[in-house]
Amino acid sequence: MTHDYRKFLQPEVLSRISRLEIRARQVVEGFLSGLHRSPYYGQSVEFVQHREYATGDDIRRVDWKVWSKTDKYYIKLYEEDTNLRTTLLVDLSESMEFQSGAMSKYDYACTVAASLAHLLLKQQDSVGLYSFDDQIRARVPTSSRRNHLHAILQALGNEKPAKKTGMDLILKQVAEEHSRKGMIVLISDLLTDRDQLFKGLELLRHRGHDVLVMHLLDDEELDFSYSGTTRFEGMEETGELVCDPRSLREGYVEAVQNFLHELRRNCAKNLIDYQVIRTSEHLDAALLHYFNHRIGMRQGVKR
Amino acid sequence: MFSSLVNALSPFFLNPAIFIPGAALIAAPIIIHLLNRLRFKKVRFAAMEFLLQSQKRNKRRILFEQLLLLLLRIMAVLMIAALVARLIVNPNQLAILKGEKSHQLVLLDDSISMQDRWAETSAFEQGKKTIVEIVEQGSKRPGTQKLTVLLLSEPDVPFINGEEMNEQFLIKLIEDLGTLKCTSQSLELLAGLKSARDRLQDEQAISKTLHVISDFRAHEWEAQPALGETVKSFEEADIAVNLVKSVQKKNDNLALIGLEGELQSAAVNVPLRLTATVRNHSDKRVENVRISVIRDGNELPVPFSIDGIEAGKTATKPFEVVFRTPGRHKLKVSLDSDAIAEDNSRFLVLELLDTNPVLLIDGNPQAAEAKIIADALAADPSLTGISPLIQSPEFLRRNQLDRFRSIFLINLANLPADAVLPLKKYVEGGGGLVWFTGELTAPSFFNSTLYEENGTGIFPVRLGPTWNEIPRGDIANLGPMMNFVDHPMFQIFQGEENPFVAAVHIDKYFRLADDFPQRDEEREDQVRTLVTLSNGQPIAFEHKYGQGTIITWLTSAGSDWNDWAQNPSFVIFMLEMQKYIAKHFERETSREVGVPIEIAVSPSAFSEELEIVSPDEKISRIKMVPKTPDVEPEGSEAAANVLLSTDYRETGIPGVYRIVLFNNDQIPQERWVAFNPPGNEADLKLVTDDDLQSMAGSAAQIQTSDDLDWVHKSDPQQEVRTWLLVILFLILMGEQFMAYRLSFHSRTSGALA
Repeated sequence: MTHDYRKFLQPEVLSRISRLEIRARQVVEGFLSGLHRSPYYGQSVEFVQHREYATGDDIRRVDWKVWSKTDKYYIKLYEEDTNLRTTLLVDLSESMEFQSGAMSKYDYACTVAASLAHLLLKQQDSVGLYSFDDQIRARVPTSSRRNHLHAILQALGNEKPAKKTGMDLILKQVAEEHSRKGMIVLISDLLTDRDQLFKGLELLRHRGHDVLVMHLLDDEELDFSYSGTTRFEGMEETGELVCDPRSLREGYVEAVQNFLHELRRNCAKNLIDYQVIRTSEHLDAALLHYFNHRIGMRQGVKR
Repeated sequence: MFSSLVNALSPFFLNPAIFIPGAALIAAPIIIHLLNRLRFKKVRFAAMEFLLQSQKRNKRRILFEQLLLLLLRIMAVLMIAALVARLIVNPNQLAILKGEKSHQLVLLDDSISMQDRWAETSAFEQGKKTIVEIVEQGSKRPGTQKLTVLLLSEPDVPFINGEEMNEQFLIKLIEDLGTLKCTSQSLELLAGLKSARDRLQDEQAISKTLHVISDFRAHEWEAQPALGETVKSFEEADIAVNLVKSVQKKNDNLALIGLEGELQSAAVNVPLRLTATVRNHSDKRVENVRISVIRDGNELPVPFSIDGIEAGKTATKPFEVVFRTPGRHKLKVSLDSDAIAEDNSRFLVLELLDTNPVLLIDGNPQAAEAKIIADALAADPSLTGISPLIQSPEFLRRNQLDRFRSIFLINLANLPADAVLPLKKYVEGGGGLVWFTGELTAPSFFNSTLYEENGTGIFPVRLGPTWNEIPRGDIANLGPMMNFVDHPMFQIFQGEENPFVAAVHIDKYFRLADDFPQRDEEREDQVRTLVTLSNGQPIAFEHKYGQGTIITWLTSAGSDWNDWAQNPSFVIFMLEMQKYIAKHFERETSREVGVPIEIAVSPSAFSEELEIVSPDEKISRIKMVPKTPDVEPEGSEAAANVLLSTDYRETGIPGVYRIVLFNNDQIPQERWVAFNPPGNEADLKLVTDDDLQSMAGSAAQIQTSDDLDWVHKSDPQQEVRTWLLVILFLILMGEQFMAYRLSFHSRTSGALA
């Protein structure tokens, strides 16, 4: 079944976030000149330093003014601007289909992904996409072409959440496939094996990627305000339970809090940006809040 | 099925039929709970991991809390059902768990005033009804309560002793009470209360209650403050007291409180003068009180009547009865029936001889003086009923003296030695003796043989060696020569001036010994001077010897020493004196009901078997037992000391009891004793509730036997409505708390993330 993938691009959301700049917190590697600083020196207007000429250097970059004064060959080095290579990882496991409000986590995740892609392409960064459950379901290579958005949307729209989440393999694969540093945005409910998740995230960080985790949770998953005898049937084969949810609420909320706390702590430890987003929140508000906050935190890191 | 359940629950609920459907409602919370478990909604949920974690951690707590909530809801339903069905809880039932019971002691007043009747019932019947009600209530919870019933007539011998209340006992009790009759005695409530207290104090029961069922008459409670104090002492002993009034209002009552007469002078065909005394205990004057007289079972045709008796006053009615035959007679005098029937009658027993024999012993063989006295006593024996017998002193030695009503000893020089002892015994046994001195009297014999120190002999004073003479001319103008003290014998001469007595002149009299104190105050004896001469010399004395009375004159009976015999007052005085001293055969023949008949006879005269026939013709055969008297009679032989004796105590019914003794030849000899109701119980005025409460203390509960609701409501069985409401309130509070705890509530600041 083909989804109307255009639904993920909500004009009012895009109009509100269009002024946002998505900037990597760390140095990223890209092909194009863009907003982001590059570890490479290249053709640019921004002079950085001089370096003594070595054989093989482009003679055109010799600073003749320095030669005239010192009689030594120095070449000028300029900072190279690069474009951001962003990879969106969208969780398409069964649990993402949970929905108590207007949108399921899956819809919300796709909308977030589409909006980000739109934004990034607009600022000439390149965007790639992986959608996954226990394996990679769709893969859109990184590109900064304007019509690339279409491919991303199509990839998102063609899939339907069905299987369990298998985070470790996916993250490992992403790390292997992306040797150049870039930004990895994981959009998921993170209802998976935690050790695998942390291992995977750590791996990405080791590879020098700037990792963003957008943790999507439904209101009911956070507040658990069910009442009356209810049979809870677990998604992703997690069993079932008949209970009076009011009596379990306290314990449930506590368990969720512990989970979130653990995530926050681990992400902070690995310098991973972590954000819980309720699916009931307006997407633009959530993104605005998040990226403004991120810009505030931005620290120039250069190797 | 339903009715048997209702019966089973009836001890615990006033409306047991309501409780059963109410109790069935406890199924409602359980069913709702189960339905809730069956009817659930399905939710596909992602974060099952945390839910399962929570469930695993809280499984026990949730189960416990839910069960607790369910229990609270069931309890709430039960409480409401118990409230509607009106649960009654007997705190004593808690005691059953400890193997103890509650003890209810009923002190039932069965004195004559409890015979108070009105409408179709009486105070005593109301009392019995109360006991039945108490047991009926107690037997609804068999095995929890014990009952003891003490009757005031026999407080130390329980009528019912610690019997367990149950259905069988109730049936037996109703039977027993049916035959229980109220006595006609005046009984001491105080003794009953003390006995009840002693009994309850020793009791181990966890809760003790005393019910005093009485009529609470004002005269009894107001006269005895100790009653109130004793009731208060129960509170200290942790015993609840119910004062159950079996009479609610005072009823009018007339009582025949006295029946007296000159029985000692009664004789066949001689009209016997009797006086009936009637007291009006009502609040208004009573007109035309009819008095009927029943002689030997036959009512005299003409009843007497008293015109009217004011409220609270006493009236007397003299009347005469003639008995035509000698022997024992029974006389019953009755008023018309009223509130208390038994105090309307009095009984009298008479033993009539053809005539009353009087022995006259004259020291002078001519017996002139004795003849004068005989004439005075029995000029017409059919009028006076006296038959005088004139004999010489020798008679005293040879004959039984007991049959004589009195003996006159006139002008004796001395007495044969073996005559003195029979004479003494005669007087000791109640005989009357009169001494007249004269010219033959030998003072030395009298002083040495008959007089004893302190007037304890049969002659009261020591005589002087000779007599005195008073010349007539000396005292011609001195007024009456004899001065009488105030005495029943002289009553007839008193009040107005009596010319006959004033005219009597004493010519000669014996003086007392010079060293013998003249005045009563100077002597320390029981001898009383009756007559003094105008010169101050005493000439007549009275003293008691044993049970008998002795009158001593220091002048002559005939006209030798005085001229009284020629005076009309002489006859009257002799008759009065004879009446006064005559042997009282009836002395012990009238008693108050309840007093035991004590019989002690010589085994040489009677066999040990005897019969007592009560007024209701019930014959009791009794075997007497040998007993040594506490005080050994003087001069009796050791063998004669052992007497056959018995005490017959069942003298509760007024009337005549016939005691039939058999002599050694098995010939019956009867003695009759009349038992009369007490006069002091006739006043039916009730003590007011306020007075009773203040006397008995605030802890005592005043109840009535008219309205027995208190038996159902009162301790030990109480309706626990207030407690149920409190418990229900607490349960509902608990239920709300639990329900709140187990339910979800959004917190304003609870939004996560």
